Amino acid sequence: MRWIYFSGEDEVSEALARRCVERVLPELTFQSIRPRQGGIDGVIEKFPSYLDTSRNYPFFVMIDLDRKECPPSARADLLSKHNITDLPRQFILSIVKRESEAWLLGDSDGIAEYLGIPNQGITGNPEELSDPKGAIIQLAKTSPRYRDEICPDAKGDAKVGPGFNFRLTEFVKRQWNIETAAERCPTLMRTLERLNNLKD
Amino acid sequence: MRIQKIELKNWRNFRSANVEIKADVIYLVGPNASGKSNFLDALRFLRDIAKPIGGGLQTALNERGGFSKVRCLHARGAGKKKGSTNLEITVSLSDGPDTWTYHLAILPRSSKSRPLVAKEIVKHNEEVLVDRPYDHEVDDEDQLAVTYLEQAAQNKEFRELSRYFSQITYVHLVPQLVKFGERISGHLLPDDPFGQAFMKRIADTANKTREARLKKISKALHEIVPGLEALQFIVDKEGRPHIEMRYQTHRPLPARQLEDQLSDGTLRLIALLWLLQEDHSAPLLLEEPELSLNEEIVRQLHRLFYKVGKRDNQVFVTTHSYALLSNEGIPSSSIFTIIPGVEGSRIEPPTEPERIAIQNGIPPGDVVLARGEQFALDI
Ligand SMILES: Nc1ncnc2c1ncn2[C@@H]1O[C@H](COP(=O)(O)OP(=O)(O)O)[C@@H](O)[C@H]1O
Ligand SMILES: [Mg+2]
Repeated sequence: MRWIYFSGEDEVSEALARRCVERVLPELTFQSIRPRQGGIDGVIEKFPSYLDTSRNYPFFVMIDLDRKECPPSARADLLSKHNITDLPRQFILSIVKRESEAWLLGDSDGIAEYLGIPNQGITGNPEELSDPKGAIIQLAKTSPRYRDEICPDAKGDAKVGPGFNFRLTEFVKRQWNIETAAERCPTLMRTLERLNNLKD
Repeated sequence: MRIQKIELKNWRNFRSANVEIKADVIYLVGPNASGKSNFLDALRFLRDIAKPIGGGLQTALNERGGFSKVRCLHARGAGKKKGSTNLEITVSLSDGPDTWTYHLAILPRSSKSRPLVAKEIVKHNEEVLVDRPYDHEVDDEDQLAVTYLEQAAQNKEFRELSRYFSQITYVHLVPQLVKFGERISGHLLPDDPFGQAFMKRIADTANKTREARLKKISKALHEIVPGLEALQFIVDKEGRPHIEMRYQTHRPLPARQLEDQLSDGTLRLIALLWLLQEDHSAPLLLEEPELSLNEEIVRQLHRLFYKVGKRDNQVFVTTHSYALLSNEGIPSSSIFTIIPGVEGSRIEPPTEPERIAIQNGIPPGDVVLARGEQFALDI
């Protein structure tokens, strides 16, 4: 049997990564690594161990670009942090422009349907958004179904609602159209291509 | 003596389990109700048979609600192949160059009679010391209703094995019971698995040993409980044992508190630190030691278990804790995952990619607690 490891920042990234692997490399078994400390720090901390592990089986890492300038420089930063000059061929580092939530917005019809809202006004270039999480929360404000779960409570100071991850993960698993999203999200398209290159 | 292999057949929710043990500290991980406690219960069962006071096969079965409660519901082949629905436990052990094997198979003869020994085999190195049933007992239910393991007259040649099983310690510390053990009083379970008689356990320890252990605990707690000066063992006017904590204050005399004033976590930690200092000449079985404890503390527990494992005997731990399994010094051989299924659970060492990940320095918890898709919990 052959495996592919995956480590990412959160639940939603893992759900997206599973869909990507299923789409391109359905013959591989998904082996997730879930850093105890979530977010980018968990991934960065163990990055050298991930590299070593990728000598045996491919390793797929997905992180958010966030406010950093562009994927190549974010990648260079990460490598220099650990004094790494280059990544092994079997190591796929996917840096999502700006946040993984952008990939969800790439399937605008799907997300609109899931939230129960009209799809007008959803951008066709979600990777150009500076705050994709915020964009989803904006859309969800008009969602008759999930507003309370996805949007933060006005009385509190949380950034997202209590069901944000739960609902977004559910959407990715059940409805997200990866093809449509890939056409609108260059970093998703590139990720799929690089996963596909693992075949040869 | 160390356990090297545990084989179960039709034991609780394991139709079949086969575990080779190479480590001194063993972590059992798996979802709720997967069978972690059931697995430990196989070892407790041997203890309950072997223990000199209140032991024996029939008692051990009765305490569990009878044979039908422990025999796997998924057992196959009733009435077909002979022996296929027996409940079987086999444990292989090593003691320096010596090896031991204990095998017990139990069958229900008929619905009315007691469950009987279908097979009992004891091997020491290559020598077979016991191989029951013997011809002279096949028709004697009274003889087959008891094991040789529990009978002093019959286990002379393997007394050390019997003693070893009888000294297995199982603890699932419940802080409220440790705290209010005296007040709840009433029914005490055999071997006090939940710590209800914990104060008594401390009271029954020789003075010098007790002082030394409490001193170590208070030193350890210093960092955790602000102002703590010392832990002391005292006996109140009614003759009841207590642990007294003394705190520094601005007043001339230190403030004092008894154990029932402590937080659940502190009390649980005290009990755990005490247990880890006891002499364990047989395995220590710990249920979810992380409960009520702060992550920073939990993160450090493996090191303490490891010490017990090296110094005394094996430590078997059930856990759900990332923090506990964050120690990168935990080898993959220490971990077993229990995987539930409709036909009962399986218990397995880490898979190949899990092993590789751990060997490359990824914290074991990040690897083995991440099995399967994240599931959605909703009501
Ligand atoms: N004889 C048996 N046959 C099949 N399943 C059993 C048997 N005895 C207990 N179980 C099942 O085992 C499960 C409990 O397992 P347990 O070891 O307590 O789980 P945990 O992993 O949470 O410690 C329950 O679902 C119970 O129904
Ligand atoms: Mg349990």
